[in-house]
Amino acid sequence: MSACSDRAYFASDGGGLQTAARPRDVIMAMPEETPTQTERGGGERAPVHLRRKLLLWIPASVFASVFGSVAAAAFRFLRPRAGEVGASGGASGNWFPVAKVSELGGAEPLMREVTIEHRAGWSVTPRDHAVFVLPGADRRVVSAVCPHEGCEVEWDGVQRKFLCPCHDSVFDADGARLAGPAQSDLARLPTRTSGDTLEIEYSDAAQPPTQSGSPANG
Amino acid sequence: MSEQHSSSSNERFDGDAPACRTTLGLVLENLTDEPPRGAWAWARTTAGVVALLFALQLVTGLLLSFYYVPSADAAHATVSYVEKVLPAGSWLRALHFYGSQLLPLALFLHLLQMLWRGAYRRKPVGWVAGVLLLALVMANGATGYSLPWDARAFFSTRVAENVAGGLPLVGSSAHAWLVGGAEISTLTLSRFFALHALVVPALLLAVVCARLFFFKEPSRTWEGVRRSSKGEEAGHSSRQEAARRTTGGDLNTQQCVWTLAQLARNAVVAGVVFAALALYASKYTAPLGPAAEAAPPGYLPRPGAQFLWLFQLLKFFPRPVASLVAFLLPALFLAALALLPFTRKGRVAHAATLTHTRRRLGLAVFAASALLVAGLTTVARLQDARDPRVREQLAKQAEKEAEFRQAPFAPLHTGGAQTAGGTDTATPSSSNSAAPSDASQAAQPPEAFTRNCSKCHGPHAEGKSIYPSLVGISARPRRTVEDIVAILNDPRSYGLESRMPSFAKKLTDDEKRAVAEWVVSLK
Repeated sequence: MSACSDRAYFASDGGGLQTAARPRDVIMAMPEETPTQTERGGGERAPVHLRRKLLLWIPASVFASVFGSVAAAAFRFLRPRAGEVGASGGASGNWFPVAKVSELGGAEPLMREVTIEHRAGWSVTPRDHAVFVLPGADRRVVSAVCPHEGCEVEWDGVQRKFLCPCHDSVFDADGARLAGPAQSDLARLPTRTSGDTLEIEYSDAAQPPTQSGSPANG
Repeated sequence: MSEQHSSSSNERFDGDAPACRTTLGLVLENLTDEPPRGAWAWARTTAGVVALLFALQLVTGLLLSFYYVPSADAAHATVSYVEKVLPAGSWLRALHFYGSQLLPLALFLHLLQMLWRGAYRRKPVGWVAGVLLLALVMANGATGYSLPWDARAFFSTRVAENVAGGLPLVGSSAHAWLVGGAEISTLTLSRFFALHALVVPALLLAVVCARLFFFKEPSRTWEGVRRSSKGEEAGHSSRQEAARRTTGGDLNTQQCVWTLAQLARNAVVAGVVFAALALYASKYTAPLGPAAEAAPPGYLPRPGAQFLWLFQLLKFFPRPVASLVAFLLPALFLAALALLPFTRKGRVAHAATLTHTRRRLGLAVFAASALLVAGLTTVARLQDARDPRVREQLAKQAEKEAEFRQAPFAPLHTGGAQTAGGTDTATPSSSNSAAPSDASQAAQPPEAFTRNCSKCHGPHAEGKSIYPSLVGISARPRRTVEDIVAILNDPRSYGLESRMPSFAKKLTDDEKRAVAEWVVSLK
């Protein structure tokens, strides 16, 4: 508290002060809180200082405790909530059904759109994400999102390659990068079979961030 | 203090130099009134309580605004998220809610003690500021009530709407300006939020700053004391300055110690009030019901405690009169208070008589309003308690609220329209399912389009997954053939996302033109 200048609060030398008659009357009429000790003379300075310090401590400690309790609440209130932002599959965690096992078995990759619910605090927004179920007994699933700029790659059945329509990245039938500006393979997604259903685990961390954001129109 | 008597001109006391040199010191000096007498020193701590509650409202409101969204779709979800999910959310909201009811009470008491002590005479600016704060705080309570957008909020908005609409002459335009249209909508909520969180707080802060920093109302008592002790001294030599710095004035010390003591008293009382409010808020949450759309038929709205009197008052009058009463009564009360320091009734011989008259006038205004508010509030509560049908309905509503509160938080599903691409583009293409066929009848897509563009935008430019539809872009966002050609050459210059590649080298100029003309023709 810097309520007053040091001169006024911590005057160490009050000796030889001249006080007119009228002000002293006022001073004498002060309530107990005023340091009456000062009027005894220069010899009893310490209690006054203690008193002033005490007087400073009361508002300071009240302020500190009010501020502290609100600040502690504010910290918890505003702390980023990692668990509540990102994909969520509702009751089944982050597992999303992709296809029936019985549908699989063709020689071509099977394209599927999976609706992923993206949770952010109080809101849930469904977004479609394209994936390919690769042919083969191991039922691998790769994301159709090109790791370069987030366009959706397409299967070219003649060349047996994945082609990105935007910037001409090329991936082989396993999703491994062959050419183009993309720097990595198509992302593999964890899979599991639950009964007759093939499911993928989706997490935002495994995806290029470009899927979000609004499409620019025209 | 020295026992020596001053002989000649005193070099130490100095009316020009305030005891407290820092900004806070000046503020305190401005706030300082006469030295306290006995219990009055404690009565005057209403100032500290007002300051505490005011600061608390600002801080908790600021925190709530981190999550709140002022839209009719989202507001309720965000408030229940704060209430049910966020740690400390319900405590902070309860502080804000109960603080908003305590603040008018604290201001009322503050004004009352200022009136009683006659402080309104010594410090007219402080007095008028207090009255203005009371008005603004009530206004903020009224606008804040609409924000959670539960049934209670909705009906409180409707009352405000009716009161404004019932005013003579200006009624219909006041209504339209308040709700932002012909009826309550999401625009109303935005308006109320802007008023509640920006406009009124800015005015509040302006009043507080004007009171603290612009209008100097140093205590006359201390001034007088200083002046008399200073004598007629005028010149300030550097020697005197130095002497003042080294020694320090007794009177200044006294004033500062007294100011500090009063600050400490204020802090003690404000601390007790905060502790009580914090405990209360941790035990009793602020009310929040199901969303406004889910309000059951026959819902009985009840306003907050600080507006119960107005609610009861409005019951007694038919609509146009009720609006006038709701506006005029508080306005008259506040105007009477604000003008109190400036009243000069007839020819008053003695200042003492004038003071007495004013004080009686002020006390009469206070007593009348306190009686009115307390009486009407009691009547409102009694009526609710007496009428079995009302009691039953209110109990049912309370039950519904408790049920809602018990239920886990249900996040708001923001609809398909805003989806990153899929449904956004699906909506126009599905609703205009005839359009592509019309377009195809009108003109088949040029070969260059099918070869280059249809992979993403679809064979008829109807859009696909994350890629936008191109149908209708000549109308919105008004793309011309030249625009499309420019986009094909350099998509980035139109702010398009980087997924859209450049076709500057992949297409000939004629092909670009053909594609552009075809795309613009799509409706």
